[in-house]
Amino acid sequence: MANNIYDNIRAALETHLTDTLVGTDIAYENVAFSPTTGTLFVKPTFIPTTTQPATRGLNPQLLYQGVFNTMVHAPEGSGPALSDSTCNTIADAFAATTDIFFDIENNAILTEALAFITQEDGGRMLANNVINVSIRYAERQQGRIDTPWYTVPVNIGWYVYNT
Amino acid sequence: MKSTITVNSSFYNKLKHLDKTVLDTVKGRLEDIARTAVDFSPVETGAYVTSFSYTVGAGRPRGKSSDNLPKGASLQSKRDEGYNDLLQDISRIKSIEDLDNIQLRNGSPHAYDVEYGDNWSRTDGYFVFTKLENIYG
Repeated sequence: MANNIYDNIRAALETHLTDTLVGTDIAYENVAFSPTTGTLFVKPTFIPTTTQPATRGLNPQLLYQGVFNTMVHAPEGSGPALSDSTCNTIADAFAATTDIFFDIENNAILTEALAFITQEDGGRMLANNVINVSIRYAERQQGRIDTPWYTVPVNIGWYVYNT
Repeated sequence: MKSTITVNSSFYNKLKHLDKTVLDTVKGRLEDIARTAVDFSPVETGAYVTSFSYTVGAGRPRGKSSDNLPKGASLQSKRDEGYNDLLQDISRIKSIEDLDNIQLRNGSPHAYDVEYGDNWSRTDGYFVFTKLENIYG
């Protein structure tokens, strides 16, 4: 179980990526990885940018935001179809307004129904140990050759409100 | 039928004042972006951090190569140099029309390498523009 807000955000984003790209090699940050020449892989980078109060007053809720960069590496000379397909899969899974509900205790993505508790008055609140990472945008950028790879970045903007 | 309406000159003065307020606000924002851009930039030779430009009107954007430049440049002085260059560009903005199409660019040949770490085997990219877009976009 992660114990810091950034650990939890990273875990949520990486788990969602892993669940999305089943069967694709993923080179996680600071984990030994040897790419296989000729085989596509994705390299994610977690980039927090700002933390600021979401409201005025004492002990305000905080707004955390940043970027989750996913760099798609396709074999050089293999054409754009392979990387396009992977970029589209990532962009669809992290489309703007997507909410990712992550169970911190069990390291698992939850459905919205399981993420909330319904209160007596009919209102609902996030269950304990669940974090909601919201996606602001997912933008695919221009591809470039980085021999022996053709690399295409997909930048995913995320934000989280937390106390 | 014809009628003539005379607009009081104070109306034009108020419009001018509004223009100035908008211009000052936008310039302040551009200064914030400039400061953040140079603060996020790595400095080895100083070529990258001194290659930022705001494109205002005509003129060639800055772009320096790090080839043949000595490493170990002073971090703060190079960042200040890059920031002052951008302040100079901002000072060329004289009217709201100048803001129609203004871009922050980095013309160094290794700008993509700095952004994404391309061609670098040991260091990841610095994601300078990616972060700027996230914060100010």
